[in-house]
Amino acid sequence: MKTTANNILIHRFVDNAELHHSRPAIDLNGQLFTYRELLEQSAKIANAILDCNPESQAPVGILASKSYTAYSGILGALMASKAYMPLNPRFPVHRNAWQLEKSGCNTIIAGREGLEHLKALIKTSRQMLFIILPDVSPEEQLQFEQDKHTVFFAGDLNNTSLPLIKSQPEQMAYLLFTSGTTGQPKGVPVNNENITSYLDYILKRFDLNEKDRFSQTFDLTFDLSMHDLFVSWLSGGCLCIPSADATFAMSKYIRDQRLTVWFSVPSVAVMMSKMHLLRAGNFENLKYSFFCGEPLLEKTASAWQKAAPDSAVINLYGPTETTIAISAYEWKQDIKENKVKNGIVSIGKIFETQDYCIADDQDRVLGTEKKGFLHLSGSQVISGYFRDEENTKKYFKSLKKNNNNWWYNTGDLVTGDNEHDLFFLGRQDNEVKISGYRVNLLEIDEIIRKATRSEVVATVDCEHDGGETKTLVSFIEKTEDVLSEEKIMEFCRKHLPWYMLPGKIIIMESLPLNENGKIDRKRLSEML
Amino acid sequence: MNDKEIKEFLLERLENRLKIYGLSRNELKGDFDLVKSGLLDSMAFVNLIGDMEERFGMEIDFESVKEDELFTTISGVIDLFLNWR
Repeated sequence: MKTTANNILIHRFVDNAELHHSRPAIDLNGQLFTYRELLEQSAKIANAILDCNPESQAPVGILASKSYTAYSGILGALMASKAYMPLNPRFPVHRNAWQLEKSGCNTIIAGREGLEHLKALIKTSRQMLFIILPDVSPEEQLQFEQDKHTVFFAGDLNNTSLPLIKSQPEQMAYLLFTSGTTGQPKGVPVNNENITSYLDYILKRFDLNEKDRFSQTFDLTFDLSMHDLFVSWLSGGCLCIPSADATFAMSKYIRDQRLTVWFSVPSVAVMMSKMHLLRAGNFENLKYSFFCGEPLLEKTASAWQKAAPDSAVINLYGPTETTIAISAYEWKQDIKENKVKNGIVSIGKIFETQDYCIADDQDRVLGTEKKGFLHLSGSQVISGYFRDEENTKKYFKSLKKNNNNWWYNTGDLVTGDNEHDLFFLGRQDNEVKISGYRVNLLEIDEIIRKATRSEVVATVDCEHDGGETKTLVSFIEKTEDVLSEEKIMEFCRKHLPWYMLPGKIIIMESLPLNENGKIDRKRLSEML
Repeated sequence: MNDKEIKEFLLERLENRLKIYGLSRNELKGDFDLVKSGLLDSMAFVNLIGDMEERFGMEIDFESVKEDELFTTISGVIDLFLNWR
């Protein structure tokens, strides 16, 4: 593939940062950083990374969350011609330690908010680490074996010159992990070509500019955060980051900060609606409202439209494997004109720049108005899972269609209409969405099996309020020495991120089986 | 409606969670933060408030609640309902 400045993510950022140098790039709860400042801070971090590890191909870990260090750390990693891998400080240490090992990452940029986690993480690491702490000074007592690792503090980062960028289009830009079936997450490597294809499409289709103020609601471990960051920066706009305290005061934040572009999972809108915050005309400044990550209900879209009368409401759809989003539906002001099935808004048309087909479970391509599994192909689709041949073979295949030989099977059951608008119908495996997070129920079962002596475990999701919210319930078959609910939960909390934790654990004499002798998850769901 | 009534309803709704987190009712002092402690996520917290609104026949106006007013603690939730007019 030809390398041009256009298909390398960091080149795109640098070009825009130079163009808009004196404009604000980040508004961190009132604290402003200009593009020039962000560029310089990122260069300092990039030079430190290159001092540690110039040749390594492994991603750089970012143990930070919604802080200046998080954003400049991501840019710094990219500027050092490397990929970044977010390490969520709210995740269990075990999970981040596993990610480090799996990815071969030995360089970590940590923000102040990640320090406590870092100390615990270091204890689990057998290898020598390079640790970059851009907002910590050496006087602070870190209480870890500093002599075993190489630590760079704020004062050690002085070189603001832009390093030579050697990134290639097919080179990984970020590595995320998503829930897997075997109790181990799957690594999703997204390369420069994938991400710049997505950004080009969005920037061309929507009218965004340097006057826009963009929300940043997503965790960095959620790929939709990449949209927040780079759609904002490549438009020359300002990325607005609410403080953690604003979780329950988001409507005030949207108004006070005069946001013009909103992006969140539908769950955030549902939450605001339940708090009576979606009042008519409440968000007059919004010109775009994007939703993605889980089914958007008709009632949520319509309530949001009333609160943001001048905003286009856009339902985006796309698995992490196809880079952020790959289809869009624009909600119409007149509710009756909208395409809705089972109360769920259409996911719209696949971007013209990408390709799709619907196939059955035997990989036979069906017509576009048939019901089947959505398969995707094109410049946004990754080439396979990270060091995981088994899963790559399972989900990435060649299909007999248009000579296009690399198709990703999303596992999402869809159907289309005669205008090529698609509708999400559900899934046939054990993957569910909890507030937009992809959760494989089998992964939870596997962790519970490790915790308890019981082999018979089944976690199901239980819907409330017509699909607006969900909770996870784990059923466990009683054995002589089965652990208590409390002990099981304690183990889960050590190994699973918060959104994968069961809200309820039920220990039963025996679990119901279906005619195939498998645990009858459907019946368990019905019992709730 | 008094504070005891509100607290009783609140604890009743939290029973399942308390069980799996190994917490007893007595351990839940007024300054216990339901969200920051990880007992509830923000959606579960909002659902709890919704249940309480229904139970006590009120509608809380979150637009006028200040974000720094620790309303996610036990006593915060109780005060929210007790002082709501």
